[in-house]
Amino acid sequence: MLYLQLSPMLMNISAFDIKERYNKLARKDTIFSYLGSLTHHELNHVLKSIELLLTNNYSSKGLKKKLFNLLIEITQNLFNYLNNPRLEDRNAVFVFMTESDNTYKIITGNYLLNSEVAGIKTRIEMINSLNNEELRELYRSILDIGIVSTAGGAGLGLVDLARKSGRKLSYRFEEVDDKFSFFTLEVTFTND
Amino acid sequence: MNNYTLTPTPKTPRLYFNGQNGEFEISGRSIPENSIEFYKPLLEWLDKYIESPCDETKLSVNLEYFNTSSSKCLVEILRKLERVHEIKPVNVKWHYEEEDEDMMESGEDFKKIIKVPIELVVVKGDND
Repeated sequence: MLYLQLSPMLMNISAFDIKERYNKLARKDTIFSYLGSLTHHELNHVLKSIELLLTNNYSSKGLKKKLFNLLIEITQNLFNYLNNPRLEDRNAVFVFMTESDNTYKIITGNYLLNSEVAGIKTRIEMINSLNNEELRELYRSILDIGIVSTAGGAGLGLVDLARKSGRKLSYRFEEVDDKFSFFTLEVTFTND
Repeated sequence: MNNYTLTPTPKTPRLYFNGQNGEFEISGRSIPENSIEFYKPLLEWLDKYIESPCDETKLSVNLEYFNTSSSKCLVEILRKLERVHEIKPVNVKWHYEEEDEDMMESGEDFKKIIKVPIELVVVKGDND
C-alpha cells in the first residue's frame, strides 16, 4: 500500500485560502466587498463602485468624504504595494466595508513577504502608540520632507489612515509558507 | 511666459497656471496613483516661473479629494512658491467644504510647514 505524505510546506499552502478567509469575513453588515487582483483597471472599478454606493446611500457629505478618503488611501496603498515583483503570483487581495451602529470598518487583505512582516508590524505599533497630536506632528514631519523620499506614498499612508480614522489600526499577520504571509488590516471609523 | 494648463479628469485636477498675471488654480480631485509623474511638468514650469515671476502670485487650491502622494507634490509646489515669495508677494487660498474637517486640517498642515501666507477659506455646503 502506498501512502502519500504531504510535505509540511505543501500542507501550509493548502491550509491558507484567501477565498475561505474572504467568505468568513462576509457578514450581514457588509456593504461592499471585493476579491481579486488589483490592476489599474480593477482599482478604478473598485473606487467607482464604492463612490457610487456612498453617493446613493449617504446623505451626509462629511461622512461620504471621510469614508471615500480612507478608501482611496487604503486601496491605492494596496495597488502600489502589489507592484512589487517579488510577490510573484500572490496578487489576490480583498477589500471589505462594513457598517454597524454608525461604525464603519474597512478591511483589506493581501499577501506580503515574510521578510517584510517585522518592519510593517513595528511601524503600525509605533503609529498606534501615538495620540492624535503626536500623529499630526509625525504626519507633518513626513510631509515636510516632500518627494525626496523614495518610499512612495506608503510612509505617509498608514499615518494618514490612523489620523483620519481617529482609531488605532488593527492588523493580523498569518504565515502562509516559508516565503509569504497574509496581512489583514482593519481601519475603523465611528461617525459621532 | 506661457501658461500651464490641464483639464481635469476623474483622478486629476484642473491646473491653470497663468504666467502672465500670476493667477494659479488647482481644483477638483488629485488622486492619481503616480502623483510625481503627474506633477513633474508643473514643477518644471514653476522652476522657469521663479526666474521672472509676476508682481503678485495668487494660488487658489480647491480640492475635493487628494491622496497622500499628491500631498507630497503639493508641498513641492508650495516650496517653489516660497522661493517666489522671497522676491515678490505670494498668497495662497486653501478652500475646504464646511463638512470636510480632513481638508481643513490639511490646510493647517501646509500652513504650518510652508513659509508663504496661506488663508483657509470655508466653502458653504450646498445641502445636497
